[in-house]
Order: sequence, then structure tokens, then C-alpha cells
Amino acid sequence: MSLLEIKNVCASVGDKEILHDFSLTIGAGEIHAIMGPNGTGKSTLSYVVAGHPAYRVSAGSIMFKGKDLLAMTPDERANAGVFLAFQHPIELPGVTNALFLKTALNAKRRFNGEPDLDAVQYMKRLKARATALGVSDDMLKRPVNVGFSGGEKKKMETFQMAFLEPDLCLLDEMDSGLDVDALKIVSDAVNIMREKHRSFLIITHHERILEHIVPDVVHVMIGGKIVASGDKALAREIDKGGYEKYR
Amino acid sequence: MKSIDNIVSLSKNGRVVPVEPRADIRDISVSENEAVLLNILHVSGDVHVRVRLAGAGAKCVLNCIYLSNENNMNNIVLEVLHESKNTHSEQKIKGVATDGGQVALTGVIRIGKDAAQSVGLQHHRGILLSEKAQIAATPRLEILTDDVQCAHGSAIGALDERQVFYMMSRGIPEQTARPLLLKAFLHDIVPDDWHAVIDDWMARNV
Amino acid sequence: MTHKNAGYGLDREYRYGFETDIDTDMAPPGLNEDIVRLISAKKGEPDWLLDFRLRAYRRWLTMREPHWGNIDYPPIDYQALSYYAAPKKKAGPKSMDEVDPELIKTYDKLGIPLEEQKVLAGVAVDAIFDSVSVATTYKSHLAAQGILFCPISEAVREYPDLVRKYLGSVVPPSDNFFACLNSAVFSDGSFVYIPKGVKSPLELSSYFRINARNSGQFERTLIIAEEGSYVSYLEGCTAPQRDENQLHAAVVEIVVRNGAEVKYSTVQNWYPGDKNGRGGIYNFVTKRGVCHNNATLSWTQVETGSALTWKYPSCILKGDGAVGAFYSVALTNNHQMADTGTRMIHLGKNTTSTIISKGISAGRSSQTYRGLVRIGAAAENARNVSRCDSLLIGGLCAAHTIPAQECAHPSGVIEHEATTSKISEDQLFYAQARGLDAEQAVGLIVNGFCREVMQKLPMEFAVEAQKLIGVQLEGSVG
Repeated sequence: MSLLEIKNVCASVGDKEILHDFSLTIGAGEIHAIMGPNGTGKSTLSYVVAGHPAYRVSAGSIMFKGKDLLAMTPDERANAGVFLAFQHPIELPGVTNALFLKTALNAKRRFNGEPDLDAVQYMKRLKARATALGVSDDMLKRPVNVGFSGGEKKKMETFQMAFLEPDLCLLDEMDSGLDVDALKIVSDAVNIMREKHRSFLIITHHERILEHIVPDVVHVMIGGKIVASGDKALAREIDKGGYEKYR
Repeated sequence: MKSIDNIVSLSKNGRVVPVEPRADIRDISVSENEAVLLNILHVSGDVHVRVRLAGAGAKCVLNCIYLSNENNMNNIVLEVLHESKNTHSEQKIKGVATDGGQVALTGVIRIGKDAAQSVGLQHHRGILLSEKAQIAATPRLEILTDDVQCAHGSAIGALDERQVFYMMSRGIPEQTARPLLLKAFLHDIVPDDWHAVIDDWMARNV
Repeated sequence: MTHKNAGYGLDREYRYGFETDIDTDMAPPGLNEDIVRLISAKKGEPDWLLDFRLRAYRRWLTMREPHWGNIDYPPIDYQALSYYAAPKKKAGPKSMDEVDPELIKTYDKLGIPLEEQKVLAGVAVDAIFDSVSVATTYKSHLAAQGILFCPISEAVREYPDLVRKYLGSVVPPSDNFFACLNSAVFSDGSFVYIPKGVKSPLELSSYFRINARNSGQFERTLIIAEEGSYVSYLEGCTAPQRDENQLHAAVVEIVVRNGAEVKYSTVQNWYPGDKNGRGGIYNFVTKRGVCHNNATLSWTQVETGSALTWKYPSCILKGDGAVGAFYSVALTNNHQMADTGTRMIHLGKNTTSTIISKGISAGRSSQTYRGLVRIGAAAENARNVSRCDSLLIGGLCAAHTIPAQECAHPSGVIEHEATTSKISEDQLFYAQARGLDAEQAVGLIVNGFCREVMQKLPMEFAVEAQKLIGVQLEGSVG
């Protein structure tokens, strides 16, 4: 069974329709990449899957693990296993990363009928994951995304992803504004997390990240639709020739 | 001693609207998508300005300089009332008080129920130059709806000694550095042709 | 969704809205000199105190209720209230065994660690039930260090010189209408005395509860910290749920001698009224401290209750090098109205003060931060920094910020910043995208907004306060 099945979706923000009759199927354990020029609806796609209230779906369906994703609130989607790594992570002044992740983790555990982790169990788990990803205690104590550099924000998004163990990871332009070292941290994490049951959708307009994370399928998206699909060779072709021939 | 008058200039959508310095400028109404720039140089007496952002998309920039010395009590009331959607205001107020100068400043931003998506900003900085001078500032922010941005900052104190030191460390004598810093501080927000008036006042009072 | 508020300990309704069934000794409604004499006689007070009350009462008759606050309420009929209500009991309790078991149950429901074994928690409690102090725990433990912590009525009997010297010295009866009323009719409250050089090993705590109907509550608290001493004092308040409004007019006076430090923390959760604005406590409070040389006083308050709040805990920084602080979280929902803030009066040289105020308005509530920072003509090198942030939830609430500043010395520095904002949709979505439901997300973001202030509270109080904020916000998320 496919993990995510998007069928003929039309989605708009305000009066403007951005996704037109969009379809995409991602199987369990697969890594898909979507490439496309700016303003083509790539970020809209990730918001629609995650359930951003500003995006209205007027037609089509999105099934996740056989369940109707569109009927679920953003938090229900997250707890069901959808994770969106934001292109522009949001600042939450005063809310520490440690508290934020504890609240999120326990929300997920309750959703799955599991008891909350107590403070000791939680800290143990948090510390273990943080050490593995090179996230310092100081970063955990700081408020979510407040005062973090662009690279640090992306690192923390990756850390949240690794910590919450989702089944579908949407990476929205994780590579934009990252230097080589930061890009390596992000892609290493993805490669480590790569498992049979876990799928990734990597949204980018550069081929660069795909040198680190090898995708199973590459899609080209233009004007709110997928116009071509192929393997990683397609990414290299785009890198050389641009999007011109698909317009 | 010759004293200078208060000066006011007003422009709407970039065009100058004539106002008498002593005339009543109490009520200024800004209609839809209109932008108003109001400059005030205040040296004495009472001034009470009320700007109503009456139409959607109305904008207002209000710059006010006050200069206070022994001879005056500066009593300033500035009100910006956001009455419509998507209205923007920015108030910048700066001033100095020397000798026995006394300044009472009230700055109001009111964002009404119908003024969603509005932005109201107000910044005040007052510099005290004598032990006898006093500045009292009473900002009032009245916000009646949630979808707004409002920020206010006010600071009263002496000239920043770090700046004075920095200039002196570059060889500028203190008696040059201080007026220079004060002029730079005041010139910043008013039309260029007022600078001479400010400099003249500074020369005679500071 | 069943997981909704689990683990947050949130109940839908006001959690403290129970009433305790005990015999109450109550004065007839109305206020006149005879009632003042009755209160004084009930407590067996000396003549000087009766005289203090009568002078205050006569002064009160000449004063007018202040209406400059941003709060709107129907006229209060001062003659319809009863000014004395006490649980019936012949003499004051000497030990825990003598305390009415019904009362102990009440306190258990409130979660107050009244039993001695809870000394481990490090909290000594003075519990004020309606107007009379019921039990003070750990008294002997504190007494060994010379710390006096008892009901003020007891202090009047046991330490009359101290009470007489300081009562009304910081907040004179003539200060304002409500303080004057309190001076005439106050029935009980806490008294704290920390001797020179002593650091209180326990956090001292009072719990106030209004139980009787149609009665006002008028506590009076007096704290004296002698040279070089230290105390942290906590105050919590609850009241039963009632349809009518109840009046609460308290006075707190604090004297902080040279080099001493007092931390005063309040979690105010008086009944706020129902969704439609019916019932709730009218809370008119005067709190003020005087700081002598190098003394420190900090007020930390979390105000979530009361239909009306009118309260400005203040610091008179009289001595050189004195330090004042005000940390406040005020949350209003439904039809609550709060006009609260602080005054920092800098009189001594090198005095500093800090103000951090976080206001959250939801529902149809209205909130005002009203502050005054004054640097006097002799206050060389005085410094103040203030931050006032307002968060609005929903389009029907109001937030006002009125931070007055007066500077009369050129070396003084007053800095103020204020912002008003709402929870952005992006913040909400981000938290939801990580699995939090809307109410959890709002609770978390609001608690983050308040964090700077919450951190100033003692640990146990901070946990309670965070829960209260969650409870009070319920139903405000659209």
C-alpha cells in the first residue's frame, strides 16, 4: 500500500488556485524529490499536506496510510506521522525547544494511547538524540527558533524530525541558505533516518542536496502540476539545462 | 532675548498644505489611501494634535521635536486614532530640556474596533541637559482589536556618554562633541530647512 | 479527541468554586462607627488601634471612590455589605487538632500543605478564611530564628509596639479610598517580622479565601525585614463561585531596611465571574513597600482571577542603591476587567528598578497596564527599564498601556518598550504541525509569552500559575 496518495488535488490560497489537478503517490520507504522554479506551488504542496488553514482544497483527495488526511486537523496529521520541516521556521518566544518537543512528543504518545513520558525518561531520550545530532544543551534551553541563525534553524528542524520519528517527512527547501557543512548535517540525518517504513518528500530547486540524499524518484513541477518524473538522472539534467524545456 | 515660534508643516500625498504655525491644527482627518506627513517643532505653550486615520489604508507620519528652556513649559498632546482597516501610523518624538525647562508629553495611539490590520508605532527620546529640567512622558496605547501591530518605546535620560567618549577618542573636544551629537539627534527627523532654527536655539540655550 | 487536555490538569469550570458549610459569626450589614467598634471589640484590640480605625473611618466618609481606572462596574452599596465574618470558634486554635476539620478539608481541596509533615515542602502557611486567620504552621520552627509569622490580630496582642510603629507607615489610611476603608474595618491578615541578618529558611505563605456570602474581605498584611535580612513571601487567593459580586479591599505594607531583601509573590485566582460576566470578586488592592539603602523589593504577580482588578504594587526607593522590581502576568477572559501596573518612585541615589509586564486579553475582556516611573530631583544615577507586552486573543478584547515616566534628574535613565500583538496563525500552525491541538498550542505559546515572569516565581507556584493560565484560556480559542 502506498503511504501517501494525492489524487487530482486543486488547492488555492485566497482567490488564487495554485495546485491544479495535482497527483502524486509515495510508497513506504521511498524518497521522492520535487524540483521546480520559484512560485510553482512546491511550498503550497507541503502546506496542503500538513494542513495549513490558509490553503483551501477545492477538489481531489489525499490519503495517508489509508486515512483521509484532508479530514484531519494539522495536529492530527502530525500525530498520524506527517512532519513538515518548514522553509522558514517560526519563532516561538519564551517557549524552549526542550518544552516544545516534550509537549509534542507527549501529544503523539497520547494520540497513540501511550502514557506520557515522565521528565526523567524524556530528558534521557532528548539528551541521547541531541548528542547524536550535535545539538547542545544550550540550544535546547533556548526558545524555539528565536535568535537562531538560518543554518541553526534548519538543524533544529532536522532535530525535531529525528526526535519525533514521523513516517512521512516533507522537507521544504531545507537546502536554501545552507552552507556545505549544514547541508551535510541535514542530509546525514535523512540518510540515517531512511528506513523501510519511512518516506521522504524533498522539495528543492537545486540538484545539490540530491547529491547527498539519493532519491528514488525525481519529479519536475511547473505551474502547479507535475510535468515530468524520472530517476536521479532527471535531476542532473535539470541542473544542466534548467526548466526551459518543460515550460 | 529673541524667541522663536513653534513651526508646523503639513503635507498630504506629498503636497504641502499651508498651515499657520499658531493656527488650530487640532484635527487632521486622513481619508482612504491618503498619506499625511506632519512635522512639528515645538518651543513653547500648548499643542494638541489629533490625527484621525478615517479611511482604509490611510497613513500618517508624525515627527515632533521639542526644545524646552527656562522660559517655557512645553505641553504636548499627540493623538493618532486608527478608525479604519489597514491604517498605518508612525510617531517620532525627540526633544531636549535645559535650564528649568519642563516638558509634559502625552502620546496616544488608539486602534479602534474597526481598524484591523493596522500598525501603530511611537518612539520617544528625551534628553535632559540640566539638573533643573524635567521631562514627563505619558504614552497611551489603546487597542480594541486583536489583528494589529503596535509598538512603543520611550527613553528619557542624558546624552549617551559612550558616544561622547568615542568622539573624544577620535580627537574631538567635548564642547564640540556634545552639541554635534545633540544636533544630529534632533536634525534626524525634521525638514532640512528647520535645522538652522534648531542650531540657533541650541547656540543660545545649551 | 480523548487526549485533549489530559495531563494539563485542566478542568472546564472554576476549580475552587466550592463553599464550606461551617457556622459563621457575621456582623449585620452596614458600616458605621458601631460596626468599627464591634470589629475592634471582637478582636479585643487596644484603644490605640480602635482609634486608628475610627480616624480612618471618619476620613473615609470624606473620600470619594476613585473612578480613573479603566474598569466599569455598577455602584457598590457599602451599606449592604457585612464587614466581619468569622468561622464560629470560641478561642483561636492552639494546634492543628483544634482547627475545624471542615476548614482543613477546604484547604486540602485548595491543595495547601497545611499539615506539619509538609514542612519538607519548605512552605509555612498562614491561612485566612474570610477574615480570620485560622492556623499558622511551623510557627515554632520559625520562632527559633526570631522570625515572627502570625495573624496580624495576634501580632497586635503579642507585639503591639512593632505593629503600632509600622501600621499605616507605608500606606497611610488617607492614601486612597479603598486603603482607607481597609484601615477602618480590616479584620485580619498576616504579620511577618524578620530580625536583623536573618534569612528566612522557609518561604512564608498565606492563602486567602472568601467564603461567606455578602461579606467583604479586608486583609491587612505587614512585613518588616530588618537590616540584612531576607524573606520570600507567597500569597494565594481563591473564592467560591457566586452570582453576586464580592468586595475585596486589601492593604499590604512592606518595610525593607538597609541591605534587606523581600520577594513578594502573588497568584490571584479570585472567582472571575461566569462567561456572561455575572458574579466575581471586585479586587481593589493597595500594595506598597519602602526600600532603605541597598534594599531590594520585588513584586511578582500572576493575576488570573477577579471580575475587576485595581492593583498597583509599588516600590518607594527611598534609600541610596535601593532596587525595585515588578514582574506581572495578567490574564483576562470573558468579561473580566483589569487595571493593574506599578509605581516605581526613585528618591535615593543609584536606585534601579525593573518592570516586566505581560498582559493577555481574551474574550470580551479589557486590560490596562498603568505604570508610573518617577525619578526625583535628588535621585542621581537612577535607572529604570520597563517592558510591557500585550497579547490579544480574539477581536473583541481590549488592551491599554499607559506607562507614565517622569524624570527630574539629568543623570537618570528611563527606558520603556511596549508591544501589542496577537498569536500569529503561523505560530499556531507550526505548533499544530508538531502535533499539539489548538488549545495546547495556545496554552504553550501564552506560557512562552509569560515565561520571563513565570521564572521569577518559586517553583511550586510557577507550576500552579501555568495551569491556571491554561484553565483561564479555555474557550477562548475560536
